[in-house]
Amino acid sequence: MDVIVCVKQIPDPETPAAAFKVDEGAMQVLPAQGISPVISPFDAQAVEAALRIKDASGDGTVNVVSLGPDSARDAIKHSLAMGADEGYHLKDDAFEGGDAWTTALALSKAIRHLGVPDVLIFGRQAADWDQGTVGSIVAELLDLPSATVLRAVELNGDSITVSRVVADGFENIELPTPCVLTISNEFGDPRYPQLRQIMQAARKQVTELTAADLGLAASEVGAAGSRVQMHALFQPTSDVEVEIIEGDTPEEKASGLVNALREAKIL
Amino acid sequence: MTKAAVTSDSDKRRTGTTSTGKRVSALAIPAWLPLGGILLVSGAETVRVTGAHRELFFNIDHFWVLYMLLPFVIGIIIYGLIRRSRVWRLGRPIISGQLSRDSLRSAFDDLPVRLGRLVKGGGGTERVLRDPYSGVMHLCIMTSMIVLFLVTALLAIDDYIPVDILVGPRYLGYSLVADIFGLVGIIGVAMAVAHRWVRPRTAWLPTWEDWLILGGLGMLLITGFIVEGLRIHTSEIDVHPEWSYWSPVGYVVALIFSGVKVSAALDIHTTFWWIHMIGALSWITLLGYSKLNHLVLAPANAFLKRTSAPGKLDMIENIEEQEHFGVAQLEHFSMKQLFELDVCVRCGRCTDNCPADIAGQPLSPMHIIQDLKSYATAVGERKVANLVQGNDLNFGLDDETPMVGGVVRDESLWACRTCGACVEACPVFIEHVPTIVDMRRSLVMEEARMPDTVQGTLETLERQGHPWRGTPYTRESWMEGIEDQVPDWTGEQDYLYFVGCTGAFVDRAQEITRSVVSLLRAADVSFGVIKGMESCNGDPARRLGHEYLYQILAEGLIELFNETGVNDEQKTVITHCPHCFNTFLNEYPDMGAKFQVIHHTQLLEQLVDAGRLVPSHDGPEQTITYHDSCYLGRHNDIFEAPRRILEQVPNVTLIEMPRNREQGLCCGAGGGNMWMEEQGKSRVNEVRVEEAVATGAESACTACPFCIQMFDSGIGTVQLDVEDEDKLKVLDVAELLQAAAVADGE
Repeated sequence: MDVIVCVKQIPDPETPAAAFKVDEGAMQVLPAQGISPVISPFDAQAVEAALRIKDASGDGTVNVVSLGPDSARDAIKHSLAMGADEGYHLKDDAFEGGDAWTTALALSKAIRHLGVPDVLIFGRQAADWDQGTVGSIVAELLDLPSATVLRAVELNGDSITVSRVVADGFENIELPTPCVLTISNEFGDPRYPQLRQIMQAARKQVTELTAADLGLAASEVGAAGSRVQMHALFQPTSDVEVEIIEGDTPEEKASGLVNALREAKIL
Repeated sequence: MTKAAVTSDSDKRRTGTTSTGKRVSALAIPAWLPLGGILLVSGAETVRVTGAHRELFFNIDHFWVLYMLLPFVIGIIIYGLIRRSRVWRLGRPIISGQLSRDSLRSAFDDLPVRLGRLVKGGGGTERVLRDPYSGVMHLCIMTSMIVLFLVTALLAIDDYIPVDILVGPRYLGYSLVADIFGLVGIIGVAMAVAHRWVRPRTAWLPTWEDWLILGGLGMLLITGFIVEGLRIHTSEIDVHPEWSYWSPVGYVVALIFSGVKVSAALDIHTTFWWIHMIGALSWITLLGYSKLNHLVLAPANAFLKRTSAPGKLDMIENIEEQEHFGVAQLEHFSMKQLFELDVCVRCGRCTDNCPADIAGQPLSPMHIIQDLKSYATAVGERKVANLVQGNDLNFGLDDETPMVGGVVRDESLWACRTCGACVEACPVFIEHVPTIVDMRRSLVMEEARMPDTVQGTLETLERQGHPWRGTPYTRESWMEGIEDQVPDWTGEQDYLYFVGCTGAFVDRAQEITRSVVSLLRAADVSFGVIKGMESCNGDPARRLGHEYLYQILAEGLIELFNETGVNDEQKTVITHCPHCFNTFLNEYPDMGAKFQVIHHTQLLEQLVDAGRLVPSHDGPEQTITYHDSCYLGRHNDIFEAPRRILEQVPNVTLIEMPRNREQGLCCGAGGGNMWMEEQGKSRVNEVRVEEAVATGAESACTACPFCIQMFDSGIGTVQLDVEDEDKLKVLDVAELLQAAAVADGE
């Protein structure tokens, strides 16, 4: 079974809050010193899901596509080190400043260019902006059935059974192929690459594709094609006030707490 | 004892005129052993019959059979050792240290050190004696065997040289010494047998080897005395009773047999003599086939043990070109590592001293070595057979239990703290830690199979250049508010203070960092800090088995040191972390480091000695116990510097825990366990905190940021019900010294 996974390189979500800086004027996140960007954790889980599908089906390929600047190559290399077969890097100055729509448009063109696979997998959302829309838009553009926020994926002959994470439990769905899936963190940890695979991945060529290669005009992608306009970018400040409720007995403390919650109109 | 007392034809034999005497020489000459020389002398033996003496081969005919057997016995032993050596030779040709063209020659580097260890350690007198019971037991057996061997050899020499040495008073003294050491040997064997019934701690069961070796030796000693007693009974006690007193044990045995008629006693004597002699020759063949081989292999291993710091791990050179990473198969070990498996005598001291085992966690270094030894016997021999038959090395071995993950379980490898307590305790100089880390290397780099916590740590190291996943701090957080007091490294100063990851990212350790800075300033030390640009030196990655990541991190840091002028023989790097210290000092030279390294306790001791820091402020009277960090103490021999600082702080009384210095117990954090989930009955840090609390000390002092964290968390559970102000306090040496030597506000 052939799978394509779309991955994104993001600032490390483990970056300590103290090192996270925003340039409010330029409306940009400043890269933290000494902390390299990483593959979005959900996307690494998407690669894991793809590799498990390939293993379960016994044949096929897992190819990886990423749109982004030079550093996005590292996310592709990481996926290759995990065991993916080929990597494709959508790299063009024209892609810069885009939104979920332009990203999904470029990705869908790339997937058509490469040939629609049996399964197309995304992470549930990129762990930087957390919009969680690209997967669904690509499914719509390619006119494929999709299931999002999955915790389990199982091959079932030609169809696929998946388990979605929903507010009050799980939802099991069967989809035909080809289809689009987005993987949630409940799926489980991605594998740690073996050193041999890291070294092989380092030597592997990554195919670069530009907007023109995909038949896209510069006006359709990047900032020019964006449908979302950003008005402000700032770090929220959260002020925490702590009030210790005094009391000699637990009962006194509890009633003091109830009164305080009532005053704050929480109760 | 004189000839006159004996009537057998042994008299004639001693004249060298009988046909049997000549046949001995004739048959032995073709033999391929130096024995031939001795036998030639036997042809020229002369009659000596004066003074107090005893007769060789008294009452024994056909004694030449022994000489015939001896070459065979030696041959059997050598065959056993050669056969075993074929398994050792499956390994990579590294004897000690790193693989190189002249790696064999490297086994002879530092010859004086090696020879010293061969004599002291290999002689079974140094480490063996640390355990009083086993030490005495071993000393008894060893000295008895050596003395009795010399006694026998002396008797033979005396017999074959034209002059008589063992005559008169000399003979009597000789006889006394022989009797005493025979008795000492019996005591030793009895202690060893008792030891196997009442074993102190490590659960190991005696096997056939134990009983065969001990039973055999006991039998030899007892039959030896029976033979002696019967000789005295039949030929000496009546003629020269005053001589017999010089063979006290034999004399007692002779008294026991006093009711037996001389003719019958002579028959019994002959029987026991043969049992004794054939028994001795059979027993000695165990040298080639059982752990008795430690007589030869242990001194060899004492010689071969690396002379570099014990905390240094070997580098995998040209790692990108390797066919495999770490050790997954026997043949991935070095010859030395395979050899070492056979040296193990199952004494259990490694396990008795292993922090993981003490805490009831799934690791016993002795069992790792023993399980590998069994595997090397079963599978190694088949690999050798494959080689001999020209097959692929692993032909027919696909269904065997895997060595790593099967024979040695993953959780055992992960439970190792690399603290080196096992290596320090081993009386036969086995190096368990590199063997364990080599197998970890395979788990991590070859198979990518590791606990989630290890994976998380390695990923954080890869991405963020430090092992502290989820830390809210940056590398500069510790200097908030004191930035102007922390000098930037300019390349002009004498010392670079390398803060390290823990000193920067862990709040408790940030306090130590600030103390060190305050002391360095107070003593007017010329130092600087590379602010915000440091990265991990790779130690956690290396100990966790990710050699490749270690090399990447180390190359990066050396590059930074090159760019900033640190990597210079004139510059010294200060660390307050013993793990950074060990890696910089012992491992970075392999990566091209030239700078000097000093641990903060060493520098602070110098500053106190020089009067640049004066611990004059009286604190409260307090008792402090010092906990040795493994990587500072056992691995790098720095035991006294921190203690001497503590001794100079006013009102401090230093007391020791029972396990201290070389025998110090790890806090539980070493070998990457700082970032792992512990498995097992209890936690190592709790065991250690209990030991510290038991001393009655108010504070525990140490010199390692990991130890401090482990103590703090251990105190949380061990002293759960103790009021906060009565709980054990944990301090770095620098913090205590700062309180005593730096005025407030400085």
